[in-house]
Amino acid sequence: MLFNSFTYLLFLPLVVLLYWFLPRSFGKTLLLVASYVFYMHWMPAYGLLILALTVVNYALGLGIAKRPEGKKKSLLLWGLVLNLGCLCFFKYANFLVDSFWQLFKLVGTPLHIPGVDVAHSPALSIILPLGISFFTFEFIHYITDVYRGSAPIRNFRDFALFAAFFPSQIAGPIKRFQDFVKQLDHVVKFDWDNFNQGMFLIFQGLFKKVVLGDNIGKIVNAGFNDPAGVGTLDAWIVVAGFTYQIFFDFSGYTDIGRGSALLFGFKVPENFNWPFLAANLTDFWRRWHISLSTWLRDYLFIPLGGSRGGAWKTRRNTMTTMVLGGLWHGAAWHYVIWGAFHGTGLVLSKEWTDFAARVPVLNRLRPHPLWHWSGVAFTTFFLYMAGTIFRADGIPQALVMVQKLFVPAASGQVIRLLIQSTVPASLVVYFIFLFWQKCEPQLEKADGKGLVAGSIDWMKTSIPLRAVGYATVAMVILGFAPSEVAPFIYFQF
Amino acid sequence: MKATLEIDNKPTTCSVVKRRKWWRVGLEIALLPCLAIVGLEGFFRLTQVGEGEFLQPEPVLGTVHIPNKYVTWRLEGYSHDKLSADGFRDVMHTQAKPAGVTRIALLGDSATEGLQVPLEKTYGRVLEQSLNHDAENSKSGKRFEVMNFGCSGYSTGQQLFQYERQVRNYHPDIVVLMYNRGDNIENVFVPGPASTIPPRPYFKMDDKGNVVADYSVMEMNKEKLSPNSYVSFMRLHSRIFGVFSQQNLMLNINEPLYRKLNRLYAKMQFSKSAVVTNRFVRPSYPLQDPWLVTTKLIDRLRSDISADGGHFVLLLFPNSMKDQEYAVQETAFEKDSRARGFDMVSLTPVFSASPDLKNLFLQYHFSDRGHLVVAQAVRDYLVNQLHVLK
Repeated sequence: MLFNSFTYLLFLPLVVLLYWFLPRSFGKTLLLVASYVFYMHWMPAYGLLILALTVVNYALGLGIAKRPEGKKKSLLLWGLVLNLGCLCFFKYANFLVDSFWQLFKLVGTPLHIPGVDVAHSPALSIILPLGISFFTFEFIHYITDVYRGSAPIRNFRDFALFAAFFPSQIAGPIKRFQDFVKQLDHVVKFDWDNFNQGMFLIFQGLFKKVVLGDNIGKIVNAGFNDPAGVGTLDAWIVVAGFTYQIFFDFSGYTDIGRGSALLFGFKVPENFNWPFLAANLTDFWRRWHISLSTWLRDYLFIPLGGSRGGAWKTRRNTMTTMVLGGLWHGAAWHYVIWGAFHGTGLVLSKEWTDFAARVPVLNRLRPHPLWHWSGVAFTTFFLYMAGTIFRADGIPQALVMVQKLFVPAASGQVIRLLIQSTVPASLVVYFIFLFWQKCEPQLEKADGKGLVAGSIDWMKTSIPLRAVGYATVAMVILGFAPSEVAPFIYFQF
Repeated sequence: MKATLEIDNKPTTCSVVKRRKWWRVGLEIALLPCLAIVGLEGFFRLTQVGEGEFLQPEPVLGTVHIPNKYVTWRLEGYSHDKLSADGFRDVMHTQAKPAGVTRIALLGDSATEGLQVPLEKTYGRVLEQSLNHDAENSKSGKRFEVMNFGCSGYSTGQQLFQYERQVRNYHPDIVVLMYNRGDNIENVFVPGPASTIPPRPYFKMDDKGNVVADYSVMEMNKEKLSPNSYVSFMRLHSRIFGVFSQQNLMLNINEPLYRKLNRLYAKMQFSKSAVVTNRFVRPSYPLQDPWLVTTKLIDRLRSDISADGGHFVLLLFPNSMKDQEYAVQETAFEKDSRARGFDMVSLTPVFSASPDLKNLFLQYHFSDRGHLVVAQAVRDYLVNQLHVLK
C-alpha cells in the first residue's frame, strides 16, 4: 500500500478511529493486524515470510538473553547468518548469478547448466519482498543489542509490532527497539499536539512527494531515458533534479510515516536534517537518511574498529562501510561504485579537514562564512555526481550523462519540459514554506505576539484556520499531482 | 544503546490558545473558505492547473468540446490552447466556404484532436501549412483550409453523427476519417457494470440490414446529459472544478478500490429502477458484430459525403504494436477500399519504415514528430493520388 494512494487515504483514518475508540487493550493488536494488512495488500504470501522472520528473531532474542555470557555469540552469529542469508537470497541471488555468469563469459568458459540456454544468464525469478532490507536491519539491530546487554522484548505481540509497524514498515526510518518499546508501554491518552503535528507532517510529506518529487521525477526520467539526446544545460537540470527528487521522495515518505505514527501517539526517528546545508560529506551523512547512517555506524563501522586503529584502518573501515551501504541499496555494480564514491569522498573530506587544521593560512580561513559556503557548494556538486551514478541504469549511462555536463551541446528538450511543468511554481511555494519555517523559531524566541506571530506558528492557530489551510494544501496536492501514482524510490530497496 | 529519538518539548496547544469569541469563530468559518477558494482559483489560473476539463455532455453525440475553453494538457505531452468558439480543437472557421478554397475536414478521436501537442503542431495544422506552401510553389492559385473535428473518445458512430449534424455545414471538399484500433468495439453496446458504460449512442443492425442508432444508454443518462447552467459555468470558469474532475478521471484509471466504490455507487443509483437495471443486465437485442456495424457506419458516412459532393478518405492509425486483430482489420479495409472504390491511406508502412519510431509517439498518442509524419503521409496522398494541386 502506498502512502500516496487512495487506499491509504481510507485505511489510515479508519485505523486511527478504531485505535482511539476501541478499548485500550485492543489497540496494540489492532495496530499489528493493520500493519500486516498494510504489508499484505501488496503480496499476501510475503506477509508469511515477515511473520516467520519475526518468530525466529523473537526466539533468537529470548535465547540470546537467556544464555550465559560465553555462549551468546554462537546464537548471535546464527541470527546474523539467517537474517543476512535471507536478505542475500531475495536481493542478491540474481546479482551474484549474473555476475558470475558475466565473469565466466569473459574468461571464455560459459557456465553449463542442464536445460539452460547457454547464451543467456540463468537468472532466477525472485520477487524482492518489499522492505526486506529495512526489516533485516531492524532484526540485526535487535539481536545485536540484546547480545550487548539490552533486555529483550518478552511480549511477542509487542515484538511483532516493533518489526511490522506500518508507518515505518517499508522504507524506514530504522527504529531502535528500546525507544519503541518505551512508547508501547506508555502511550495511552489521545494528545491533540501529537495529532496536530502528525497531520502537519502528513500534508508536508504529501506535498514533497507528490507535488515536488514526482513532477521533478518526470523531467529526470525524460533525461535519463535518452541521455544522448540532452544538451549541457539539460544535463545539469536532470542531474540536479535527481538529487532533489530523491530527497523530496524519501523525506516526503518519512514525513508521512512519522505523521502517521504521531496520529497513534508514537514518535519515530527523524531521518533528514537539512542535508543540503552540509558543509562536508561527514556532515551530510549526519543529516541524510540518519537512521541508516547511525545503523551503519553502530553495527558495521564500529564493530570493524571504527576510527580507533589509526588512519589507514579508519580509511579501510570507512570504505568498507560505504561500499556495503551502497550494495544495500541495490543489487547492481553501479550501487557498489556509488558507495565507493561516497567512501572515497568521506576519506578525502576527512584528509582535507585535517590538512586545513594543520596549515595556518587555511586554518585562519576556516571560521569564515566563505569557507563554510564553499564547502556547501562543493558538497552539493559531489552529491550531483554521486546521484548520477545512483540513478543511471549502469556505468556506461552514467558516463554519458557526466560527459554531457562538461562537453557543450545545445539544450532544449528538458528545459522545455521544466518550463511546461508545475515544478517552478511548486518550488516557489516550497521556498516560501521553508522561509516561514525558518521565521517561526525566531518569532518564538523573540516572544512574538499578534496576528502575524499567531499565524506563523501554525500549531497555535485556530481550528477553522488550520482546517481551511489543510484543505487548501490538499487541493494544491490534487491539482499538481501527476497523472500516474508513482511509488516511493526507496521501496525498491 | 543511546536513544536516537528527539522528544518534542513544546508546550501543548491547549495551554497556549486563548478562548476565542464566538463571533470571531463564526467569521473565520464564513470568511476563510471563501478566501481560500478565491486564492486557489487565482493560483491555479496563474499556474495553468485545473484546465484539463474540455468536454461537456450533449444529448445526441454524448460529449462535445466546450467552446472557448482554455485547455492546458499535461496528462501526456503538453499543450496550452483555446478551443474555438464553435467548440473544436482548431482555429476559427466560418461555415460559409470562402471562394477558391479547398476544405479538408478531419474526423477522428484523440489522435486527431492532438491535445498532447500544441495546436500548431497537430497534423491538421501542419497539413494546411504544407498544402498552402505547395500551392504557392506550384502557382496553382489554390488555397486550402484543414479543419480539425477530432474529439477524444469518439467512436465511428459519433463521427458519423458529427458529420451529419456539424461537419457538413462547413461544406468540406475532402473528408478524412482516421480509424483507430478498437474503434469498432466502441460502436456497439456491450453489457457490463453500469458505471463503466459511457453515455454515447450505440448502433445495431435492423431487420433490413441497415445500421440504426440505439439510444438506450443516452436515455438512461438523460439527467446527466441535460444542460445544467451551474455545472456548465463551473466547467468553463472554475479551476477547482477542473482539478476535481481530472482527479476523478485519474482515480478511475489508477485506483482499483476507487473504481469498485464508483461501481457500487452507480449500482445503488441505478437499482432504484428495476426496468433500468434489467436493461443493464442484457440489451433488448442480440449482441452485435462490431466489425459489421462499423463497416456499415463507414458506408453511411461515405454516402453522406458523396451526396454532399465531397470525397471520402479513410486514414488508418499505424499498427506499431503489431496487433494481430488490428492487422486483420487493416487487410479487410484494404480489400474493401479496392472493392468499393474508396480511398484509403494506411500509416503503418510509413511509421514502420521510420528509423525514429519510438520518438513518433508519446505514451499512447502521436508526438509532434508523429503528427509531422502523419501530415506528410496525408499530404503525399492528396497531392499525388487525388491531385489536389491541379
